[in-house]
Amino acid sequence: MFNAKEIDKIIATWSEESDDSYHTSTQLLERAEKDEAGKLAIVNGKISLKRPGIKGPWPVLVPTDTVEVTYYQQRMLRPFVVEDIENLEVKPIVKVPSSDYQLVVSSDKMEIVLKTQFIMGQEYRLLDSDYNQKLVVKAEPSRTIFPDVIDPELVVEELEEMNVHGEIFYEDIYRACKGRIDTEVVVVKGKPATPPVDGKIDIVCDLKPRPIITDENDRIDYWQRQVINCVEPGDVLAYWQPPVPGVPGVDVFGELVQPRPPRKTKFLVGRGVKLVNNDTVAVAEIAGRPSFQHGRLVVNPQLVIPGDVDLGTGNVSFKGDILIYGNVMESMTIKAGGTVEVMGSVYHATINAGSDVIIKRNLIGGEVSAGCNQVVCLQLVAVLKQLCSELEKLERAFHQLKNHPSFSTKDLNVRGDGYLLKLILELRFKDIPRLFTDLLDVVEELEPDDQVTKRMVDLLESTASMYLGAGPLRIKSIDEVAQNRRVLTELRETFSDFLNDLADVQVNYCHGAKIKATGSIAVTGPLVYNCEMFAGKTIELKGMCRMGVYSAKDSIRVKRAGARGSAMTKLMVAEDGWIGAELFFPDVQIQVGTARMITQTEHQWCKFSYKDGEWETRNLT
Amino acid sequence: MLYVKVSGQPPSVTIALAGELDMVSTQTLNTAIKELDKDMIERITICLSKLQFIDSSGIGQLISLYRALKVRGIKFRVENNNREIEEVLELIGLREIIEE
Repeated sequence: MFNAKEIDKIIATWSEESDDSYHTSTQLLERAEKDEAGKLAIVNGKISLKRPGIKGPWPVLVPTDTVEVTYYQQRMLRPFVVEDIENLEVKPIVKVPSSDYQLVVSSDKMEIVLKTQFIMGQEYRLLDSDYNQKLVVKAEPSRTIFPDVIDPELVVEELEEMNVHGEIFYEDIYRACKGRIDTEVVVVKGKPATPPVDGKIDIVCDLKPRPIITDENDRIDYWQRQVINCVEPGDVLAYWQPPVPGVPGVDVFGELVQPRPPRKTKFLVGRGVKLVNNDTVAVAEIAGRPSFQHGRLVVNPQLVIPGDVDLGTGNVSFKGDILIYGNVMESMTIKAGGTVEVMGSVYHATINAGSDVIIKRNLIGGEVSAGCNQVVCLQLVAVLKQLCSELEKLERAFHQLKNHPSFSTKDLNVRGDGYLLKLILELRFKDIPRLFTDLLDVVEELEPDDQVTKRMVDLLESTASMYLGAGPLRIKSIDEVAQNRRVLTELRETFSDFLNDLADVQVNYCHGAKIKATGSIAVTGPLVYNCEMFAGKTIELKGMCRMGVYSAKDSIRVKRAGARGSAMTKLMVAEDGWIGAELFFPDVQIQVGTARMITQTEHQWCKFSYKDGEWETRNLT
Repeated sequence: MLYVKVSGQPPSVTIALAGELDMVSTQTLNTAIKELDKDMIERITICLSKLQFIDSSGIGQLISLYRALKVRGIKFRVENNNREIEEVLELIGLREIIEE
């Protein structure tokens, strides 16, 4: 601070420079008094005012959200100038507690949920404050006010008004109402319908091919071969269990809830099998091996080829089982209605079997298919399952978007829903058009041999065209997507019905070959190299697996997946499946459902799955 | 009604949108983009924070813009701190191709 002498000195300096009229400290002090600011303070919870000097600034009061300020009977929310405090009222706010509840009926009307909400109240008191030209009035919490409990009787009365017929859980209502905690609790439950028992076929004969039994010198026991898994005329093969309808349930309003109708499951038989006892029992008409072919129970005789299949024998086509003691040579084709067993190797040949394929030695190049048309059905079922799931997500996203408060739907009224669907398909649901393309590829392999299958193929093709290219623009309403999903679900169930017996492939070593099986694929030797495999159940590779594409519905288990410096190895399973290996090398592509990842480092003894949008890694046992 | 405010100088330009980006107003945005000297610009940021509504035409417009600018080597960002509008962008999957 300056003393009076110093101030006079400063003023003397100023006076030389300007015409200012202030020359002494006294005059300066007078001016300071004139310039003094008006101030406000809060003392013992009350407002106090110091008026400003003649030229001083006026005091300003700044309200905050915890105080209620009234000036000249007007509620003040922004800072304002205070001239007097007689007409100024400042009081702390009181947050009033509240308690509320809501009864929510589930979409299937099978339960009612009570949602309670309790909000705490709060009292505040003014905070004292020193004199200030700009006074910010604040209050601090002084007392918490608890909300009232909810009267359970009110809830019960409302339930009675809703004409509820289900079981009411009074204790849960009481607890939720009295707890003073936000709760969601089921308070009424309907009685769910008892599901039906689907009709089914009980197979009482052994459908699996007989194991090849050898002695210590690798000789085949022909006597045993004839005995195992062979039926005689008159033997019972299967019984048909008729469907049992479900029992209706009751929803919370007393309305009957019908169970779904039971599936009848058709009892279809083919060559060598007869239906007796009102078509409920299947018996063998001839001696041979029983199996399912194209969804029909049949009995096949067996063809034995003692040496190689080559130009000397020509291609082999037989409706029953085929047993080959030699090799299958380049470019030869084997077509069997039942199983194919090759004791030697298969070189760049084609094997198409209605049932299992067993190759005791090596498979080099060529194609092997176990399950014939059923393989295609299986691929269709796999793609359709993914598609139905993705279409359901698409519908959900579309409805969320359409109901979103910041999304305008005016243009959809003009253009139809197709434009928006096309955008979502291009941006968020890119997998849907890709899956439809895969579907068309699989459909091409299907050989429709009757009108029903032809119609199903037409339906699949016309549905796919709605989701490819500019196809979505033709969709007028999202309801068409829901309708498509229902149709695809029905088709999936129909194709599933064709898959009665799963056909497996077993081979020792495999190189550059293509294998498809409705059941499982097992490679028992040390290496699988650059192959393409598709299995309806599992793939198990006991040795290394380098390069190629391997796809299974349930699981893939490999000893070593990928290799350092080699091209990519792709392993794919359906969305609930898993992929495991004793050792994953880097650069192995792993796909579960539509989720993909590429291994960056080595992983030992682990298996990958994908659940709830996240990858799961567990120990391989 | 859509309000468009262009700010910044090449190479980086920000276009702030306010109001409604819909079938009727997409032309307004188109005109603003056309008037820019694209040879000088390396990055365009569209700010949606003041946007109240958007419809499928508006989303389509942003996608077309992104694709057209990408061909010319211009970086395109959509900046937004409006939670409601962001939800729409995420539901439709726009965020999967255009960075924030």
